[in-house]
Amino acid sequence: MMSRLLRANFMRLVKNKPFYICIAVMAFCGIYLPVTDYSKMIKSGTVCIPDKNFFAFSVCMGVVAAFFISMFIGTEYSCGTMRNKIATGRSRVKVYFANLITVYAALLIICAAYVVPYLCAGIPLLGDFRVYGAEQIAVMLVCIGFIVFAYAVIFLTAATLVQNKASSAVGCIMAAYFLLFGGVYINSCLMQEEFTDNVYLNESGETVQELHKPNPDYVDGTKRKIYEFINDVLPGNQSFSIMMWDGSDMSRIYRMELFSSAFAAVSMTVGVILFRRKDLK
Amino acid sequence: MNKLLRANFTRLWKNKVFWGCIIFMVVDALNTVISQYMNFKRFGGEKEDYFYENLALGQTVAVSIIAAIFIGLFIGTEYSSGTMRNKLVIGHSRVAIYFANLAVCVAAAVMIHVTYVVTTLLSGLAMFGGIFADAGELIVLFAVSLIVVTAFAAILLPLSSLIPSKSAGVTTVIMTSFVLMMLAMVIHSALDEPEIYEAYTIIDASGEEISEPEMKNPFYVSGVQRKIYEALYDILPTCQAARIQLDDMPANPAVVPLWSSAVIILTTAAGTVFFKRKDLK
Repeated sequence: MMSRLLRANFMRLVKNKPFYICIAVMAFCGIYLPVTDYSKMIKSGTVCIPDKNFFAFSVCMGVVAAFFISMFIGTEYSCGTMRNKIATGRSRVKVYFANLITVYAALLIICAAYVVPYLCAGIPLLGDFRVYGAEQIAVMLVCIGFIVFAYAVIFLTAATLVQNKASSAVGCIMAAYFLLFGGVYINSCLMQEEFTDNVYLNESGETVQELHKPNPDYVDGTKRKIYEFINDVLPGNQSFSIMMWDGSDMSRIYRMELFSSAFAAVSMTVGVILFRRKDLK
Repeated sequence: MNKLLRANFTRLWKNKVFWGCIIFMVVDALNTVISQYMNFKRFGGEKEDYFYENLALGQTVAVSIIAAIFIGLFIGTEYSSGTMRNKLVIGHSRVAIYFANLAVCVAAAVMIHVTYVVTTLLSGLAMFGGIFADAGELIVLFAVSLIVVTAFAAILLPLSSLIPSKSAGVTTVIMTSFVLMMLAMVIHSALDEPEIYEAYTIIDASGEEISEPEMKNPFYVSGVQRKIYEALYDILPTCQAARIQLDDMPANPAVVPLWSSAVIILTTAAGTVFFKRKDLK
């Protein structure tokens, strides 16, 4: 019986404007980034490689997912589709999972809308990948797939539980930005060196060097452990880590996949339980 | 227009989103001052280094996001609950409605901004025992920031007024303000690149001398692109807010309010013209 729900959802997806807006934005980014790198390379003579920005889309996926899911699921409530589905005897669990499959498929298509144009424009302009091997790229794309799944579950749960479309859109988009900026902040804290070497010119033009100076911004002790845990678990942090990843320590990528799955499983369980109990009016 | 203004302000005082924004700014300001105070206690140094004069204006850019949430939801409700139709039916002109909405949105944005400034100053005064700023300079910067915040409201109101769907309107307004904020960050970092890296010589830990000759910075923005960036840095309200936050005001600070006023006049004129022509159904 879920196949009918899925068919109805995919029919709606094909005609959904926010879905096409997301595809257009991601495709634009997929072309714009390598073309900008290429023009920089021509203008300044610096070497630009396609590896640099290939995974940058993982950072935008939180906001894109929040926008698309809140609009897509919000319409289910505002047009009475949700009520009709329940009234015709579909179970809430099936409605939830049909929606999850639809939004996840849509998000994977949106990811592809970035990856394919990037490869088509990037490889001819910037050459082959030089930092990452084929296996690493495959593992990281799978990892992004897990992160996107975690985003899909979080925002689907939020959009399913908040019936007001505008409130759910504001909530999801702001949550996506908080996750993103939280990820940037925690990553930048963890990237601080314990000791720094400073070289600068003083007022009289002499070079002054301060070597092995303790860095006040370095995070240590319990706080560092908490930050590292958050960095591994939250999808916003994971997205940023993927973008900044230098190709070493593959175990961290596998760990992120594991944490994403666990995070998604917990959010999904909570989402299903709360949705089953919810008064849909 | 008096009746419209009275009705709008009555709705404002009862608006939960407005009070939510005010509470958020109070919490944000307290968090900023407390973390600065904790850093002062931990690392020592001069109080002026932690409670500097721009700290109170440190969230001027963020006000654009908070104001976007408020304006999107406040104006969207005018459409979704039929208030807009009622105002027109009883004979109010569209111009009067637009200006009454502008007045309430500007007032709300200014109050949200002032909440942050006042909370920061008062809590800073209590914790640090003084305000270490040139009073005249602080007042000038604060006055300029008020005009910039007014420009935020003037830019976001037309978008919200022209999109009758509350969810689509609020999403567009929030996304626009995030795009403007990102644009400010990109332009600032591009203009901040030095044209030339100075030559220097350092002695590393092993006693070896390392020298680097003077080098041209490949990322320095020059020519027409620099002129466009500089113009946008002067004109865009988010860039102006960044200039206030970063204490990067132009040699003649009057440039900022002049450009802000131009933005307010242009966006209000465009908003009024389109709102008059709009088919409100």
